[in-house]
Amino acid sequence: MSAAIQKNYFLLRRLHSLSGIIPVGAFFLIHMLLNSRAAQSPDQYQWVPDFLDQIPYLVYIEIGGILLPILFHAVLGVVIAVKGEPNVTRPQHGWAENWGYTFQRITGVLLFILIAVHLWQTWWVHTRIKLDNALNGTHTEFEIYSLMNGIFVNAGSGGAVSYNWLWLAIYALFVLAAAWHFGNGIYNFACKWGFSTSRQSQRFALTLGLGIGAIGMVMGFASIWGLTFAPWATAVH
Amino acid sequence: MAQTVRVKVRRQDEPGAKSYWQEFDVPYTQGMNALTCLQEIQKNPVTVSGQAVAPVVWESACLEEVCGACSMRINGIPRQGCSFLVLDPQKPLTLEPMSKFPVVRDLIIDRSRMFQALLDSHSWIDIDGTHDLGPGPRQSPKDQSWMYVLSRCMTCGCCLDACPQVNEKSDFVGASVISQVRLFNAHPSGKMHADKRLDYLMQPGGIVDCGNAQNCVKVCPKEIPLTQSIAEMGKQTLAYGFKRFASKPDLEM
Repeated sequence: MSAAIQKNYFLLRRLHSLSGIIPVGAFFLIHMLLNSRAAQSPDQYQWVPDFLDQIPYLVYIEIGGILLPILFHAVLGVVIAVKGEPNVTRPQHGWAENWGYTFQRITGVLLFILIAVHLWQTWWVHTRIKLDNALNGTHTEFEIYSLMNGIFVNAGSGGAVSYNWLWLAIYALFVLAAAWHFGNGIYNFACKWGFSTSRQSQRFALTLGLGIGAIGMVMGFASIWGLTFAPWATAVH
Repeated sequence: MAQTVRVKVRRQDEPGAKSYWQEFDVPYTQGMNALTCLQEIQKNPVTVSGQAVAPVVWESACLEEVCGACSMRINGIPRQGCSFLVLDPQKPLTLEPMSKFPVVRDLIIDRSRMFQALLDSHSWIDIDGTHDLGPGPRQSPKDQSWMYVLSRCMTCGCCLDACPQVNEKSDFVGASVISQVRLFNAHPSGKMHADKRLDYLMQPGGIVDCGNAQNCVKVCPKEIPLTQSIAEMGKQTLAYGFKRFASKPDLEM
């Protein structure tokens, strides 16, 4: 460990904890909320990237405000995860909070990979179109609904469709892992920062965290439904 | 024929040596505990296969769960041998040394790191001087009662053994010393050295290395609210961190 990291270790770990709530956790909730418009209609869903593109300096906000914080949270998180030795499999050590500790690390590493894949599939496609438009003076539209729909639904011949169950499973796992990691993370945050000291308040923080995570999960599943199983999801083919 | 209890012991001949299991049958007596099982083995150190072996060694002192010396993993859980009663002779008893400390021999482990942590964290009250310092400030009975609970810590090491964050890859000091810092920082005289103890907790391996698995509080034989202490110290170190960074020039001496 270099001297600078050693000296600022407390700060770094506290920033890791904070970044999980703001901006990463907050982003997760807003992202799920906006995505759930896919369960209303493709037009409602298209409103999301159209709206975001109105924001000035968007790419800098995206990189500085969310991409770098996620990277920081993920890299330090992996360092933390490999330094721990989960022991739920030891005899009589299978307590709920100990499982929570273990899942937090498993989902964290999983989310690192899934977020990278997700950014490649969506954000990078969108950003590349915007770059092309800016450089070449073209006006290519970014159609978010058909992009996401194309991941989950395969168009067959003569209007027949089939579902891409592998990607559906990956995205369902993605939503579950993110919702859990954020929900349990709220509980960890409340304990570590001393907001919840007593046993009752720690229990309350866990309930609150998992409740918020569950809201994110429901909105995430609604988004997947809107992109895959809604009447308009197959009508586009 | 008298009833016997099957005792499985994880043994190790010397520091760094490979461990191995041996099984013994010891006569059952009502009200026996894990340590009386070991005493029986000492009387007749013959394994179930009839092999005469060196008696199993262990460490113990008070025999009433206040010294912390006989900590070992009994049926997988870190606890005190003296207070673990053998209630059912049918159930085999598994004894292992605690896993997070260097083994000296058999069930004897070296808890030096915990005592070193108490020294490094200034976990004591300074009352000695070159002259009589007079009586200290008074404490309310209410404070005395909750601080008494923290003072019951006997540095037995169960909280470290159960903690997934305490391992060879990590420097984490464990729950007990964090709780002791809370105790001494709450003490009216101890408060005078509060910053020193908080500085200790804010080092790598300190409070932020807690992973909130909450195993410590479940295995603590003295029922110390360790996770509450960790949360409380999380709050105190944070407040102190702000103060140290932003508004306390006298700390720059």
